[in-house]
Amino acid sequence: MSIEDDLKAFWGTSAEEIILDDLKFKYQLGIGERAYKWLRVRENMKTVSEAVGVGTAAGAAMTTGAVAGVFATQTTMGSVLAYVGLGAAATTPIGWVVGVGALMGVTYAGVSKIFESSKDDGLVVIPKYINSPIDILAVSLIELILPIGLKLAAIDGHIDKLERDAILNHFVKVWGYNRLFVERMISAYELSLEDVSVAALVNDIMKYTQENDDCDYQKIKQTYINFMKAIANADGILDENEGRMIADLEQAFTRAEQIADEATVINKTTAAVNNAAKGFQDAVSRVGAMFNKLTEKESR
Amino acid sequence: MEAIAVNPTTGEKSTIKLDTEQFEKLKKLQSEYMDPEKLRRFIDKLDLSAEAKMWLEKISKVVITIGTVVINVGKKILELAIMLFSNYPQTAFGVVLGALLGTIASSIPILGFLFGAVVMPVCIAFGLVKGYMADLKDHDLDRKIKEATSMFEPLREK
Repeated sequence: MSIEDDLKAFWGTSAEEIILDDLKFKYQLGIGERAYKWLRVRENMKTVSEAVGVGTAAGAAMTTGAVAGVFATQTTMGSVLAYVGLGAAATTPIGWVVGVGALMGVTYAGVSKIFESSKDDGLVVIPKYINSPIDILAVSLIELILPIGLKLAAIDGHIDKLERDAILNHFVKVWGYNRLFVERMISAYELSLEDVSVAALVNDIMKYTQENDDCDYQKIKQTYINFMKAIANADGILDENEGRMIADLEQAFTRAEQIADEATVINKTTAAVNNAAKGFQDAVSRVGAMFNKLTEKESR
Repeated sequence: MEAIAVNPTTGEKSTIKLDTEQFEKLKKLQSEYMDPEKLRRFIDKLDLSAEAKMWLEKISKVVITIGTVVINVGKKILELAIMLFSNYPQTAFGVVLGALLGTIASSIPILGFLFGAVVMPVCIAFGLVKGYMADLKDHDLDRKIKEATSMFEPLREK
């Protein structure tokens, strides 16, 4: 086959898409511009290095006696400086410069933070591309989210049409999945709901989304809990069992987070103990070496 | 007639003279199999970093103009690379693209002018340690890459 025939054959066939609206899907991941490593570095600079840079520049501008004099007469400024721990520094001319420079840096960092929070509230940042193959991520996430949704819908013995539609619409309209794909997944999973463990799946969701750079755990968790509430309310009646299962789910997330935090503390403590033990071992070796030298000297 | 290429990185322009026979052969390259949306979907499915995916999109926008005819050489290279990668999945996508771009850039001067500066960043973005040719182990794929390169031969000045 010629290369042109290869091209025609390959591009002539179309595979079924799992995600039809990739922008919805990427939005739900909640990672925004953090998808790009260079932007992650840039964002860190904006809040730390640039703040220091602006602070230093402001400090240079404040070296004139007139400016220092104006600040010296402002009692409120003195109290602000004291508040940020620079009250003592402000007693000398150099102290003023340090104080003003640092304070302007603090102000700038504060403004940055304000801009940052307004960016979070007022803008939606969706990365054009993510680091994972989108289909693999899409299958992994639906396999983690869908079974508990179905289990909740079936808690009263059957899955109501309204509940089924709520599940289907969540994945199609909120996440951007292909409807046919979601329907097939629902048909496959609803046959084996007895095997679904809420605690185990919650644990897996947490682990998967925390370890994957393309997922924001908190955003996905919140969307997930809202999804469960929407299913419970889909038929207009919040059943006692449904309410209990949502509470169980929220508790399972809290418990999984606590276990993860405890594991982090244990890891940090183990590392600290190992470091201390190594330090002690080094100290003992040094004392031993000194003792040997002394013994040699004495014996001569 | 004259083929005009504008380097996407530097904005520099390069031109070559083509005869009617070359121009007629080049018309084959005009057939495009994917629109920008389809390309984006394919790129999304690749196991590459978001930065590397952005590089692919940049490559897809590189064109050569002959009079009123626009040939999207960048997109054609990507169509070939994605097709070859799907047919030879044991070879990493970066290796396929690096080998294809490297062979094309080194054998057709005007494409070397367009893509020469891109080959190195692409190798880095795709983590090609030994270089695109050394990383290519499959001889059948090697043959297909040479065949793919021959599609751009009419762009070589006589």
